[in-house]
Amino acid sequence: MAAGVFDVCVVGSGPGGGIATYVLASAGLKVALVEAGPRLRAGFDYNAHGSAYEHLESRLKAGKRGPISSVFADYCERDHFTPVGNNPGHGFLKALGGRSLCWAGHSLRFGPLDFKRWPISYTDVAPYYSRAERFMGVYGYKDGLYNLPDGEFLKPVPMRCAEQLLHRGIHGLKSRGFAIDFVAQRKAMLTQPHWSKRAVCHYCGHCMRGCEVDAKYTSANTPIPSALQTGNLTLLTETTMTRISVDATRRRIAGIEYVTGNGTAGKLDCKVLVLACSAVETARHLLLNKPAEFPNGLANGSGQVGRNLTSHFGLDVIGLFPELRSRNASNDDGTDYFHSLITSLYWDKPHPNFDGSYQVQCGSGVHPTSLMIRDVPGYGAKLKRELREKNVCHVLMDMQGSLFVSPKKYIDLDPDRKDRFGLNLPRIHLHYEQNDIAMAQDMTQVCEEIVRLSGGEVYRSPGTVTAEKLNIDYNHWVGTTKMGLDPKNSVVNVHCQAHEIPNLFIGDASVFAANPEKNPTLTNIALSWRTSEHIVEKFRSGEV
Amino acid sequence: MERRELFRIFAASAVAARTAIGQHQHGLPPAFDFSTYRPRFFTDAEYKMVDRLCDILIPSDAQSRGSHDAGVIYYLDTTLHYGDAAGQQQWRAGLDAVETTSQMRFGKPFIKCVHSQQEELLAYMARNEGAPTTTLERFFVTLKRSAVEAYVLSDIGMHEYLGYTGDTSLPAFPGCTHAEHKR
Repeated sequence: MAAGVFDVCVVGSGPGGGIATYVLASAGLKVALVEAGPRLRAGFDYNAHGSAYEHLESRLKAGKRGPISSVFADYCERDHFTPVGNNPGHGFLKALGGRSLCWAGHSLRFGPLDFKRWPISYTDVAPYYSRAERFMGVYGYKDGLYNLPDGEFLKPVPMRCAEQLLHRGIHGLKSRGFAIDFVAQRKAMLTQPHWSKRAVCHYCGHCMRGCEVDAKYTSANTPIPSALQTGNLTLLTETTMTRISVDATRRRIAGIEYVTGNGTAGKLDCKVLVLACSAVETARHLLLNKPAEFPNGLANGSGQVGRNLTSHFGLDVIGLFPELRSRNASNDDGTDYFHSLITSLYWDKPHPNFDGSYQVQCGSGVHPTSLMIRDVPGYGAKLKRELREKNVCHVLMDMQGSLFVSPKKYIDLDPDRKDRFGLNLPRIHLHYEQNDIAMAQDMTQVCEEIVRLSGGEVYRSPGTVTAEKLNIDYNHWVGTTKMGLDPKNSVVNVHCQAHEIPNLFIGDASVFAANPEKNPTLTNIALSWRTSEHIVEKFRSGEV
Repeated sequence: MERRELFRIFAASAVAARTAIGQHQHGLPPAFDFSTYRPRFFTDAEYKMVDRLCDILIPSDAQSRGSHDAGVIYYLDTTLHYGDAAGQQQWRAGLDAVETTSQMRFGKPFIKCVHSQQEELLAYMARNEGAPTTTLERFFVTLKRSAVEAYVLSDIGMHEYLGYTGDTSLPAFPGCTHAEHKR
């Protein structure tokens, strides 16, 4: 490892860490990127193609789950946190690129209304959305919706038949004065040649299992290789940060301590630290480090680290379209399952029974490796006929609701359970509340109505919603180092700089001041880009 | 097209579809050969019993072969062989319940029963599928769920039964091309 002091140490190589590394290294700063996981080889370490039966024996013998390669299932951490309450999960893919290896690529801009509760506006972030979209390669249609702003898109990917039919239901609701729209998805996958020279997508549908041709954007296939080419990046993989060192006199970060994959302990010094470990892990590391100057944890004078936890949650409604029973379903793969999105719900006029909004991602088609309808009653000829028929003509509507923020949802440290480095594991507290249940109930009713108005039948619906029926998106946790103007009730300022520690920045989605219904990753990347440019300016001005 | 001809095409394409490790290619996968497989979790009698039960659950018909030809029993045995103790125990309890029921109803082991008796026993297992209460009824749900998963992942299940030709390379994704769906 290079001696001396790094300009910036970035910890975590997911969407935010990857882009921070690229922007900082490209600006000429000497950067160390610390990633706890290994570097995986697309196509070798994960490759979902081929016969399930041929791979079954070798995969199970190697301790892997199931016959189909899945980068998340094969490399995610297990037993790495303590769940409390309503089954919170914590997706932690320990590899270079983090969960950008397994994400679905959904890339939606937040709109002007979504920044209402933020100390920055859409106008502040818009230039970075554009840069991110051009850099990543994002496809989509220009839909002209003011609160789902259009981006700089590659050629779009259309809906499948069952999703197309939902337009009828959407139109039916609109004609009653209901504010709703239905658009095709926008995803970070190449549908045409791109500056990065990554392969163009071939629509095999294995996106979330890991794209072995790198048509899908990941931190590992675009920003990090670009950063390495500058010669300014020192990449440390299989290296786990175990402590953050603080210069007590100056109340600043001095560097980090770490342990490598072969057990060697080390340390590195840096002028600036960027934590991009994810909302759960960044909060955890801040709480773990309690030098005398920061008795509540680093940057936690407000007590807000780990608080304001939110994500997306929801449940599913499945409809069937009898008119599609005899359609050609030989290849529905596309760009993974969800090709469309119900949006614009309660943007202007809040629902009387709940605060916040939701969107509904919709998918359809026959996907043998992830068949959506499996529990058809009966057996024999009847089972064969109905199992196939239902999967051919179904549409699945999956809610993504903005989880209500409250003191009942937070991260803290488990006092009893530790990892192999002796560090307390995070504890995730999730308790659904009336707001969440009311939102999910509305989604159920709206989606059932859409299916019926579209000429379909409701095949499966949750009925009366209870907390037990709700599912959390454990890859969308945000908010645990909230951005704000007042250090008394926030952790970072508008540049994601810790209020209390001027050379500590946060590069992941833990900075979110509020969480709309839209997927977080594009905004995470845009904010990290913006933060990184701010760091560069601080170096250039001599402030650092 | 005759099923046998389809099978010959799959086998012939096995050579064409074989790839170097790590290279990214597509094409119909080779038909998996499990004819010489010896069970590791099931006893020989259980292996035959479960194979037969699955073939009643998902039988062959004019359009596609069923569980037996698809090798579902290989998939189940391999999965259970590497599975956890709790899952293995659950299966053992279920298999015992099938044998006990067969002895009670027909006075002989399941694999010695004639086909009509075997089908009658499966119907008995399935009678409370929506709300199972006994070990036997719960085992039916487990068995069926496992058989469905194994079947749709098999070469026969994917390609003959579902007609799936995906997991391949397309220059573009056409999506819905039907004018009537856009009205």
